[in-house]
Amino acid sequence: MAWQLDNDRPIYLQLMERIQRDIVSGRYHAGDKLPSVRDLALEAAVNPNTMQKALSELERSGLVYSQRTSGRFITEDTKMLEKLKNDLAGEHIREFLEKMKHLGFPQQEIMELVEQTLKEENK
Amino acid sequence: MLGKLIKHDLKALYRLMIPLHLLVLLAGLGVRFILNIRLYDKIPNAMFGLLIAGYILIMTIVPFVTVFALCWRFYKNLFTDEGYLTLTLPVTPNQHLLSKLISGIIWMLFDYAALILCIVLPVTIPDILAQSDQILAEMDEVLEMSSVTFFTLMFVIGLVSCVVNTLFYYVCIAIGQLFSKHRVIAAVIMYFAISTVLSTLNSAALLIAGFFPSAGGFPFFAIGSENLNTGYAAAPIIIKSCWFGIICMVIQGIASYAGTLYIMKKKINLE
Amino acid sequence: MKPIIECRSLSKKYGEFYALNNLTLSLGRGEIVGLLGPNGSGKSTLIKLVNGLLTPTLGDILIDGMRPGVESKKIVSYLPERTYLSGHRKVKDLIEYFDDFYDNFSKERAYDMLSHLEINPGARLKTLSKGTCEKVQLILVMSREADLYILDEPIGGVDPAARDYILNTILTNYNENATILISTHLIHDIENVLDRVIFIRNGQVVMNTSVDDIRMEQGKSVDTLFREVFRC
Repeated sequence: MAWQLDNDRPIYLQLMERIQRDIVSGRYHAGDKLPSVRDLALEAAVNPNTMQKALSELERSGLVYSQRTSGRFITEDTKMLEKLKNDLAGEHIREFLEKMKHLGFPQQEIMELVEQTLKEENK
Repeated sequence: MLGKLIKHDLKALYRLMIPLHLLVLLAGLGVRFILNIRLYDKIPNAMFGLLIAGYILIMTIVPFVTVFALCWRFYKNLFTDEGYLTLTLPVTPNQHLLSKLISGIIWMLFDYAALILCIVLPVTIPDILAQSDQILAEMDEVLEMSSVTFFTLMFVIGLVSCVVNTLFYYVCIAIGQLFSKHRVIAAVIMYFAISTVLSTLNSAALLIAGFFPSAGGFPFFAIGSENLNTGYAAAPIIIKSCWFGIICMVIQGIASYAGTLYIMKKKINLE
Repeated sequence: MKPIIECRSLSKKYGEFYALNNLTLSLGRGEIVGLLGPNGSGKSTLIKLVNGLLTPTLGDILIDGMRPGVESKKIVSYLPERTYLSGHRKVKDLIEYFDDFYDNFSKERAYDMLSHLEINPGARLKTLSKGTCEKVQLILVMSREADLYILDEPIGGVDPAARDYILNTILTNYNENATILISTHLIHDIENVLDRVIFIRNGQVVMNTSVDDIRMEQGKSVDTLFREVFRC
């Protein structure tokens, strides 16, 4: 299944985000080998050049490293992965808070609502 | 590359050509058999007439079908949707045209040979061969020349016209495809229009060159002495005009080739 | 390295009508390029000129530095909009045909793709559906190791599943040194596989930009931009 991509943002950015998400969610683990550019491009149904660009950007950020002959690997730096996870979480939380603010909830109330929802889900 | 093109051009038509000409051979063999066993003495005249009519019909239709198939192949392979494939092969226009010409000539000769066989088979039965000397002598008299000369001439003209006609059909089709609509009809009209013009020119040339003395032309060409008859010297005129005709045909063939090649190089008009 | 396609002041006139009007364009290697424009904008004329099916009225067109001819045809693999598959010929006859004429054709690749699609190489072309014919044609074209692939409306008139297959085939067989030029009006469907788009109107190039640049600078998809540029 082709990856879901938005229409209004550069494709390579979305590919980077998607791979980051796959790493955080545990699809790839630290030190895992990534599929080849071609395979990833096919999976995403995008241009291999674009996938190449996304991976190069990830490489620049240090999240992925390449070994000349054997391909690309996820970093083994677990601290970095942890940080990525926290960053992504932070992003989602900020986004959520922004939306709640739009709806007119003060911070205190948001907290209460979250706690309440969690309790209900855990029942 | 030329060899490969010819191979594929021949391949495209053999499924039609082989059975078609087997039919011609069968017709020839059939009539030979009928004459050999003197079937005409045993069956009603009408039925015999019908068989002969069938034989003649086959001999008339098959060359027509052959020409039609060649033209269709040329048109379809180069100037219809198939042209998108054919004309983007790494091959020069000249090679395309040569391939179509050579494969066309091969089929035309095939057709020609089958037709000759179809005529020769029935007329070489023992009954006729027994009297061949007499028949040939009579023919010589009618033709006012040696029948060997006559048939050789006819054979050569047949060969040349195989080539020239093929080229002429091709150039008409190539001109026809210049039109944006009704290209096949345009090609047919071209064929008749150009043929008419050419035959008019041809007659005019013959007239001027004095091949019809009775029509008041000038006898530019000295009349040879190979005529067998002492009477009115028609034979040399026939021979001369045959040669003249062959020269005209060769010129027509060269012009057709050049015209087709020019169109294929510069004026391809695929839909 | 020479551009794979270079047009210099290229014009093509039909009667009094300019299908291409002083068009200048240079395309590099290693890109998948969308050639986009409304009907009658000159896309087909440009493609026919690249393939040597037409001769320019004015100007020059060079394929890898060469005028269209035998040598350029060796390195261009062309999928026309029209289907040329017909008649009693079999699929495998056509494979032989391609193999005979193109040195860079890979029979194995073609048979691989056919078997993947469960198309019988012994099937006669006239028995195949239109969609299957289009797939066979694409397989033949993509089985060549060409420098330039020209695909004219490769996804027009096929169902979405076939469309996915076709895009997949293009991506699978694409090599980094080749350029693929795709002409289409179904922009949305192929947007994600394009590096670059060329907008063409009234026989002239009105835009030649990378897809990511359009998204980055304009914040909109190529499809949206196309609708804006060519609003009637």
